[in-house]
Amino acid sequence: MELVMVMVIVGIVGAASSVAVLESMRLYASSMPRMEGTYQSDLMLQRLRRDVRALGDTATVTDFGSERFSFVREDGEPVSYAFDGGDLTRNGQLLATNLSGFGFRYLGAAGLASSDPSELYLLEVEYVIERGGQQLPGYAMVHPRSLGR
Amino acid sequence: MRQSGKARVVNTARTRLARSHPARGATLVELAIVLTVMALLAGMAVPSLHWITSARRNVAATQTRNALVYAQRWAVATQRTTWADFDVAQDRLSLFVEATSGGGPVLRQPLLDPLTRSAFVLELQDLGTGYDDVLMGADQSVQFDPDGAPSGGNGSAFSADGLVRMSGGARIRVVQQTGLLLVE
Repeated sequence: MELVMVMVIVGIVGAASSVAVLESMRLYASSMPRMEGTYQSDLMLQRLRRDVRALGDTATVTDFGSERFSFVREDGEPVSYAFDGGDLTRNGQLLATNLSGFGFRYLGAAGLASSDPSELYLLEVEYVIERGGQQLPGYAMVHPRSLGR
Repeated sequence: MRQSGKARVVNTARTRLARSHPARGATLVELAIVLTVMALLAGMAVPSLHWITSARRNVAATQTRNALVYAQRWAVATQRTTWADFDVAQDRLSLFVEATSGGGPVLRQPLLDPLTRSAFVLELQDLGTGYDDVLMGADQSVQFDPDGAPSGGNGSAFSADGLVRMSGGARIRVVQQTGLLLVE
């Protein structure tokens, strides 16, 4: 009987302490999708910034939409970004996945939205990455260095 | 030594109690019941522990991916080429970085682990899992350029996405050109 009592008490103590352990595990598990989203966001913005900063001439811009942007870099490399079906691609290769929203916005030197590529001064990009039921919004502004200050 | 009246009364009470309830240990039946219950509980727990194996494999895939991300970020941050060399036979991944003086793969040096400050080497045998296959172009090494873009260890462009197949089914995909690293 004493042994049974000990087992019951140990079981109760174990169940109580497992709540704390499970909570820690749950927190860790929920941080994994966030880390994954942060990584993709970081990779996407880093590549986008480098490309747009290296935009040679606004005359090379061939695609100028909210979900597409194509141009030629100073080094002559053609670059094309496209958002389709939740994925962002760069030259047809996957750059980010599970985006629930993505959009380019083009601003002129006065800070007003423009639909004329020759007026391009600043590129805005806004997006939301979805991971594990969590939404990670992001925003960035990039200015092509060839366009001066 | 003479006992006080109060102590004598307590001792008498203890003696009576011992006579009416003689001390005894657990019977064999009680022990058998406890052992049976414990065996049943253990038997119920063991089948549900298969998640540990799968968790271990996931950890191995995540650690491998994180090591590749580290090499990629290092390349972007320092503008120096980095390499991740897979040793499939030893289930090992080692990271390298181009020397500050340049020189490409000839003068590369081990990339240091930020925690241990020693050469970054990931040993999957410690996790009881490993690499089944590594397809990085023509070899088993991936190189990240200063844009974070991947290529084969010798600098040859990928003709398809790079792939690391882990024991147990997990895969790490290295998307060509963009360098996006995905655990699948």
